[in-house]
Amino acid sequence: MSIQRRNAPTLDGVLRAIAAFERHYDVETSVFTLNDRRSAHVDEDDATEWLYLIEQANVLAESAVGNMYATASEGVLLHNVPDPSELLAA
Amino acid sequence: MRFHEYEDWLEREHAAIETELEPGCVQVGPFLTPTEYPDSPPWKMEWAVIFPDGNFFRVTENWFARTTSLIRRGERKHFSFHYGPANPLRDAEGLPVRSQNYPAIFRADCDRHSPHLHFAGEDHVGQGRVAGLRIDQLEPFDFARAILKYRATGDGFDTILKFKVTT
Repeated sequence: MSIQRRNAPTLDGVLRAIAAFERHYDVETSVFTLNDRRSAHVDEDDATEWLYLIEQANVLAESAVGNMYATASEGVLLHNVPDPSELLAA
Repeated sequence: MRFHEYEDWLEREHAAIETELEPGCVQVGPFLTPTEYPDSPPWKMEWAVIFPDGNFFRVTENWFARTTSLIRRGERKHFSFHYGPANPLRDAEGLPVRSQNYPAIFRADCDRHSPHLHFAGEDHVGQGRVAGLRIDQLEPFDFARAILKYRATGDGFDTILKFKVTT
């Protein structure tokens, strides 16, 4: 069996996935920090996937609209997080 | 490392280990997911092998951009290497759905909790208590081979990977 390359995600898809995590855990990405007690109940695998989605959103948003979705420095995602709908509308 | 270098490495290592898998195994992947540019981070790799007895391993790596000046090069920031019983419920790609009802027998992670093991029934055994193994240096195919050896010999993971856990 050879390696299968998945399709690259769209910004819209990534933002929707992030929003789904936020709804599921009732924790906003802007307060989802590395050691924050508010995110302590986030499942280990989900947290890893969440952080990866933020990294993807950064790259895609920067490319698509010249803006950063969030600052993904080791889980600290606090600053200047724009409304995803603004990003999509840009 | 750049994406194409990683892809070449993955192809080579995967081809090498395929011949070592038990008969009757079901492989899911390896999947390699780029984000935007074919040769830039972030990217993700996921591969699972489901054994005939219902156990499985899954190795996942998430590669992030290094720095602005090295934007095209990635570094492995997070990984999760898991072995244990497989949830019979599968996702659209055939990967066992994650569930706390199917806990790991052995697992190595590098995530927001920093490098740690799930070993001998204990969760989050940090690097500070593990001697002889740099958890953050563990490669997916080293983990996969350890699983194959564990299944073939019954030796403990500490013996196979040559580490000791202190209290």
